Amino acid sequence: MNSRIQFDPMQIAQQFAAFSQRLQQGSQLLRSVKDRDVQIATTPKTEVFRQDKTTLYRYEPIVKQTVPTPVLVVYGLIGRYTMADLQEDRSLIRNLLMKGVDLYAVDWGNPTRGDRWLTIDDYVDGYLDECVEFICRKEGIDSINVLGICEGGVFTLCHAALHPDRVKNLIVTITPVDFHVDQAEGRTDHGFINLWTRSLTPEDVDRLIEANGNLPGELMSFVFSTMTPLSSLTKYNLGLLDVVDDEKKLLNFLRMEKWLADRPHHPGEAAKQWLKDLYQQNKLVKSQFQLSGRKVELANITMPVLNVYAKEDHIIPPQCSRALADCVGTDDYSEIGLAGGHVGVFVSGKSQGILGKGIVDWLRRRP
Amino acid sequence: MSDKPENWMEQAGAMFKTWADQQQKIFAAPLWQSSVEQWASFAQKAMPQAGVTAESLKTLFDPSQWAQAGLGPLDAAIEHLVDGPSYATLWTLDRKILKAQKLRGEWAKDLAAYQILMHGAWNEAIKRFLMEMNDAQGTPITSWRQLTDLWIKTANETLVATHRTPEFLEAQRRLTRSGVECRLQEREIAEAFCEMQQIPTRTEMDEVQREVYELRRRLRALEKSGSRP
Repeated sequence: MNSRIQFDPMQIAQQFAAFSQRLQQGSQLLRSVKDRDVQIATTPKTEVFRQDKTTLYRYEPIVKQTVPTPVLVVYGLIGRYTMADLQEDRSLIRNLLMKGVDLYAVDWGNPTRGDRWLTIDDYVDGYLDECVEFICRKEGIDSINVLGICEGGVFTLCHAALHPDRVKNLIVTITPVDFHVDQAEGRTDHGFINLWTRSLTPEDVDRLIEANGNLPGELMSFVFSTMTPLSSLTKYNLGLLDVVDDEKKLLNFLRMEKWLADRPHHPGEAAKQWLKDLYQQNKLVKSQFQLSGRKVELANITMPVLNVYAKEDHIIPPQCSRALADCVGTDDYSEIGLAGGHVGVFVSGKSQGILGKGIVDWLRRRP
Repeated sequence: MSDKPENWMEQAGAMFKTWADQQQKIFAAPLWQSSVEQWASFAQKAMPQAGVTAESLKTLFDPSQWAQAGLGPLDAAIEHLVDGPSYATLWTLDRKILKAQKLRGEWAKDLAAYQILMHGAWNEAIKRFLMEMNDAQGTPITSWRQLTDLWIKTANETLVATHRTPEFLEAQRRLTRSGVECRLQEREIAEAFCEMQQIPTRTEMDEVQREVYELRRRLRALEKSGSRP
């Protein structure tokens, strides 16, 4: 049997020498980096409204406003909104500001066990609606533009369906709508979260929440890591080695680590709705999902809708997002399919500019 | 003259004689014999029912059994104690502790089943990697990094495929569930001790927090109705 390994002893010696040098340089650089050097979400902003743990921020304008209606960015409860402003040169927030958008973002805070009883009803019909109300009052307008990300996209869809008069234009990004078409493309690396969630029984979910009071951030981190098992296992040796001698790359790596480490717990009752009503029973797309005693009918979304999805999204497979086209009640529905994965769409070097430009161009055509 | 014995020694002797005569009659009676047989049968059945037999006890001292999940012969005994009827004033805390022990045993079994699946996946990954490495049609591997990348790619694909199988998903589900059940049972024990010392329990805190949540919700609704036209 012939092996493919054709090591040249001289080459191996050279590779080993280069590796050793890189390791030495890298360890020096790593020693010099302090946590204070690794900052995320640095775009200047001001707190303008607060209710319980929810905070509404308004970003400082960078250029003259060119989009007349403000945009509210709404992230979900799995992960934090800071992903949209990871670093100066990889920031959807900054890209939108640079193009003259008056920008707000909602921060749900860090839910603890005490927030166990909060439901999606509270987030959508309560906190989110209050943020929209605040901006409308402050600006003296009836409706605003809303931009939802991932689970936050579901929140904005529900809000727009329940309060269509408060949303002028709706942008959803990497947002699941049909939770059961995750295997539509037959890709073996897509939709593991959907499979995992469906493998649980409703009682499993209830007992998990009963034991923890919430859906622990650590558990979700573990589930995410099982989607790319070897990358997760080799992140702190091979992955780090690849960037350790380049300060810029190293800081990019560490900023992403900081964001990943900051994964909040998902309030328990809201997690039950998320996992059972949506992931397991797919109620949103069937018009069976209820919030505050009202049925969420996506057909009530009559304002213009822009749906941005990631073509390589293994967490929210494209078909799960694109199902929205058949559900909304507007003829003004557009899609942007971007190269890249779930998080890469926001933080990769390649997508910078494309996403922000796509959104602003679309908004400018709908003043 | 009375035929009653005169002193207490005679009286005691008479009493024992009478008792012995009666005992002989009782022991000879068929009803007694059948009861004795029932007890013998009960004793024979009781030990194996509890999982404790001479054979099972031997396994306690067999090193090859030590690595297995659970308590082996004692599992059935614990289960019998935990799942039996409860009594108003007997063994309440003991049953909680025994139940936790039983659940920990189940969790250990689920963990072992999960690990067996994962061992299989890693073995498969190594097998595929060796096949890839020796595939004469493949591109030559000239650096350690290429070799490492091939291993990562092969192992990743194998593990991802395993993670999607119904067997893995079920094993993971069972492990998650049994871990959760252990934790909930441990909380019950902790709460029992808290109650003894008048310390608020998790359950009581949940109830209080639920009331705070409900009050906040009502307050927000009131504010909303008051501030909006």
